[in-house]
Amino acid sequence: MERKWSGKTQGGTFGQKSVLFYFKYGSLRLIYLILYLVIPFYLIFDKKGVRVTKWYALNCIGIKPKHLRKILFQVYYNFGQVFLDRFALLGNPKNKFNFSIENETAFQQLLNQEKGFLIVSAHVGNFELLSYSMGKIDKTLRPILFGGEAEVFKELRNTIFKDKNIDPIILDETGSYIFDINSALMNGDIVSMPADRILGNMKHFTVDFLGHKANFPLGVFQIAATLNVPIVAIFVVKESYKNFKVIVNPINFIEENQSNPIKAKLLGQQYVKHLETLVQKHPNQWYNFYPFWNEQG
Amino acid sequence: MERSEVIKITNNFLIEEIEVEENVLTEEAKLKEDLGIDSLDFVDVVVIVEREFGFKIKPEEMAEVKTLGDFYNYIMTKVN
Repeated sequence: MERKWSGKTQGGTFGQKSVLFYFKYGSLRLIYLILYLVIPFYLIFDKKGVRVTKWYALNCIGIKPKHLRKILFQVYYNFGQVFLDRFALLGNPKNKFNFSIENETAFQQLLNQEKGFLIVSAHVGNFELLSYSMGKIDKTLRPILFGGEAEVFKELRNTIFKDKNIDPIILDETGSYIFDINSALMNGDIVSMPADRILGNMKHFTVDFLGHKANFPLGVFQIAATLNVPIVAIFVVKESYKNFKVIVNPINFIEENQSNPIKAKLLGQQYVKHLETLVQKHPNQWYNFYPFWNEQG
Repeated sequence: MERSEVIKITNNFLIEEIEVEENVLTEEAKLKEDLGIDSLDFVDVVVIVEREFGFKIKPEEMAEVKTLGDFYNYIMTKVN
């Protein structure tokens, strides 16, 4: 089974447009109800996703086999909500979500610095809402998006975020991102990207994650080390209907005298530890539906 | 600057900072396919070149740089 992520988010363009159209008039609660009814069918047909999620639940979270169906339902239902929440926001800006921030002081300190910094996140909770949760800030947020994302999503995101200091960097074949990332960090902006998926031939490091070996991309940590810019792990998890928690975890340069590749790996290992703690607290908000662990390959 | 010096500095940072294997560093080696320099590594390469050679790489100038030999030549034209 292919262990690399394809670079595309789930859901085709038609599906995305339909959901966006719904949110012009429809309510979030009603579509949650529909989702609840649809999930059992999804569990029947998404054999690959169900297989890897079962493995994750049994081997990484220690779920007993008799509770497997419950956690599978929760993971898929929560993932559906993530998808819908995102489009509720994009389709109708009147939809409001509430965010509480854990360790806000650390984040504020980074915002107050003249220097740019890196935010690493993951496909846990709803990292797509990170940009939205930050409200109005002085620094420009430059989320790195993969070229495989559906065009309609990018266009709408540009529309909804046009009043905020958000300017995505597209990681595509043109290579302009190389200079955009560099100049953004040098200009004091914030560059953000998830650091839990390997796209194409990205360099990676291997670590124990939830008790089993897994690969994580090294590039973003290498950039932090080479450019000597601060890096912070930020995750957004759903707590209830429209309430989210933003968790800020600073990542520290602990070996100043080491080479940049070693510094990068040490930064990456800290990120993985933060991610591990988060997933243990919120096991039903883990959304990597492909063979994430080496043993699953 | 002599070409041999450019090669020495470039190879050194590719080995030390980008962790490219020494035995694949040939003039014909393609940067992505043969050296394994990935999309985000290039961000580091731009910064390191500026630090080591004192000039900024321009996006349009890198379009024709495919192999390590092209990369040496590009640096040569910029530093001289």
